Amino acid sequence: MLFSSFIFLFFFLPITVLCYYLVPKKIRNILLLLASIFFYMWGEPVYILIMFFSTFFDYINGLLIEYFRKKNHKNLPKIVLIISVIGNLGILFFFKYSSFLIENIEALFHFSIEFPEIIMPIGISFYTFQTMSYTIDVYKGEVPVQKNLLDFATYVLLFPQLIAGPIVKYQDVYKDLKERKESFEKMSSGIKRFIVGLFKKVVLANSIGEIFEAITLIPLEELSVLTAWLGAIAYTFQIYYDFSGYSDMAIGLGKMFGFTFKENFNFPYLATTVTDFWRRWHISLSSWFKEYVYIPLGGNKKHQSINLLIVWTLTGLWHGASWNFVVWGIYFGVLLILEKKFWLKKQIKISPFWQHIYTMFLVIIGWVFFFSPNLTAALQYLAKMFGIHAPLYDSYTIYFWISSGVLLILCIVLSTKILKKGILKIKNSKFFIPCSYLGYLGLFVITLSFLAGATYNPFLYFRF
Amino acid sequence: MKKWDKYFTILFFSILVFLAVGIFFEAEDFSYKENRYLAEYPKFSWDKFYDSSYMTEVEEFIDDHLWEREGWIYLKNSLESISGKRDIENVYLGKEGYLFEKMTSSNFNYENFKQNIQIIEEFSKKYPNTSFLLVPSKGYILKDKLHSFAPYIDEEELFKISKQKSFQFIDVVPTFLEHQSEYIYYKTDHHWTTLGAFYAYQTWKKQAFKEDYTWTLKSDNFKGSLDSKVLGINNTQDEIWIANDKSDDELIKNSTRDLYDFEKLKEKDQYQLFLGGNTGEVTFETNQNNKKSLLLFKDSFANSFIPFLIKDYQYIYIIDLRYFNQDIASYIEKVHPTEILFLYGINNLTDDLAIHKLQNME
Repeated sequence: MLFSSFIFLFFFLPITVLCYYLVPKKIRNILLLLASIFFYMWGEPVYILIMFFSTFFDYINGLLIEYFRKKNHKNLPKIVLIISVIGNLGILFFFKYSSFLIENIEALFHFSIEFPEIIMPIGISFYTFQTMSYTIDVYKGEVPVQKNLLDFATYVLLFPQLIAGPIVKYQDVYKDLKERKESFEKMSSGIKRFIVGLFKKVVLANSIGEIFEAITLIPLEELSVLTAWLGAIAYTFQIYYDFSGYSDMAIGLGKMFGFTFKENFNFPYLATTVTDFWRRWHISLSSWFKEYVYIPLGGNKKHQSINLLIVWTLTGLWHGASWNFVVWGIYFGVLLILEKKFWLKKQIKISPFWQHIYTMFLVIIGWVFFFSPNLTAALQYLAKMFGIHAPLYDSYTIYFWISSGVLLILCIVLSTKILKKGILKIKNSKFFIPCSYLGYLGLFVITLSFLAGATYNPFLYFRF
Repeated sequence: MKKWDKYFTILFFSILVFLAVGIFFEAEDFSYKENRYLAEYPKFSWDKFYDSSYMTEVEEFIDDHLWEREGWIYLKNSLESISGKRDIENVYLGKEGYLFEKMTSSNFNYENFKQNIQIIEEFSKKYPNTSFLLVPSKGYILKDKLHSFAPYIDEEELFKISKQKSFQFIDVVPTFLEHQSEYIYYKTDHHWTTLGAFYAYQTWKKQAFKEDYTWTLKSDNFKGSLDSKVLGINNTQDEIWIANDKSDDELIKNSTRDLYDFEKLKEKDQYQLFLGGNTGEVTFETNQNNKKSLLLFKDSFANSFIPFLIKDYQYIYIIDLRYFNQDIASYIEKVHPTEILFLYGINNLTDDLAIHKLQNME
């Protein structure tokens, strides 16, 4: 099920919230678990079994680690941990990366292998990382073991973050799991956050995504420099509003049930360096890799550059089983190394404005690797952006600017803190509170109209 | 602060519940604007559960039955239009209420167009009495009504290619450009108007004048194919005229269909008034005892063109290759036409695969 669908908005959400607040506190986790199972099964009726297995597997692993530790076994806890990690990565690898591996072997050795098509279960990249974070943290003694299977399952399957993150570490949420305080304030705050996220995804991301798609359909020979840039910039905003919108919705939904999730995005396009960018973008992922891969490898204490390269290769690979994602990851890995070795050390004095330009320039180029279907396409697109065999602008450029200029400016402005600062200024006026609520309702109404528009399907009789 | 939170929460969920209930009160099961049946609530089966199709269909049902669905879409289109957006669902919003099909190199199938032209040329080598009338698109002729920078295919180039072929090419572009300030294309539909069809006929047969016909207005509230795609923001309506030969009387001896089906004016796609829509084969026999017969391969554009042909031929055989499954070579041998005409709109010709039936004919 998707958050941006009528079935979720009109049926699943109100019914779940109503039931949640009607049942006694002790049953609330079970209710959330049941609702989350329904939520997931709606999209994956069969593959939910894999998630049940994953959940049960790491629940047992957690118990075993605790048990062996109590019995003062030296090595058994570690062995269980290794089994857990291998098991989780194994599942992830099988469903997500085996086709990729097979393709590459075939290409390398020039023979074809009979391999059945494997469909990737929704959310597998998120929940395997979440259950792994549990067993690792139990091993490290950072969290108490969870003896209640249902509570643990609630953590893994919690529908707000199940499908698209943020990656919630067990250490960040186990207290809320045990005891949380709900209130109208939190509920209202959650609703507002949810509305903002929904707007970002349905109105901003989808609309600017249309522009991006239209530009990718232009034959390469006809792309001008500025149109190519416009396409890359459109994608830059599409992915930001899509992803951060989903995170907003997840955080908002969590709040409706009394959970506090950590922020996943912090105005990433305001970053002044690439290092800064990665502290603001998909924070839960980089935080996961930092805690469970980078630091164990030695962090910035031992052979930092190699550690960075490994982590960023994995980060790229996590995003997708394809070489362009790996290149994207390594691209940032290299940039981060360069920044740490040269840029940040020297503290070169450049105005924040130029720092933003520098950062966004590199980030946008990074996205070209990310959205291109393969490396060749990425390089060809980049060639257009830098004027190789391309005119500066053409009628497409002007048309897109006229037709989508307002949208583009809106996307740029909302990615900065201008709105936030503006609101802070008028916050103390008497009419602020009712107006702000009206504002949220207005946003919601607009978002619903765009959702309705997406379901519009006239029968194209003019092909007959 | 606290009471506002309470009110806001209650209001938000009330809206959701209201819209949930509203799904089940939508009485319609046919969408006039979209010209299709709205999704039905699906029956449950375990098979459908396992492959998720049950869930998909439930969602389609909910999506189709949104309370006041058209109003919401109207709101979205208005917001987009206000923000400067000049195309919606592959339709350009032009000036004076004109809507244009968006034809750009991204969605125009050049390869198939060239292949179809090639096939027609091969055909004309076998049957030398073949002519080809290619109807230019609205966006090419009425360029000034289109937004100045709207990307569009190079149609001039395509006409150049067509003119170089060996069949007899009826080039209506100069005539159309001459009359471009007249009402030769519908504003809200991709078809030409009856006047446009007349000018094409005049280009071909030369001896034809508007005054030879009585022009009657049959509808003033036609909203065509392009209007459906931009629901709500275009308030233009089109007029449908028909031209009756003044010397008409009982020109048609018998036919498998009438020239006009006025019942279609009650439906959304009023253009189907002409010939009652598309079908595989329609034949006309007239009272003109000139032994001339025409075999016409066509798409929907010809439907409003045919009334002008009635007085020129004794027999007219109209074939829509998309719905015609007989063997064409034997059909031609059977009816033995004195002339053959291909009449296609360029947008239809590009996507047409039925013409491939004319390949590899004996």
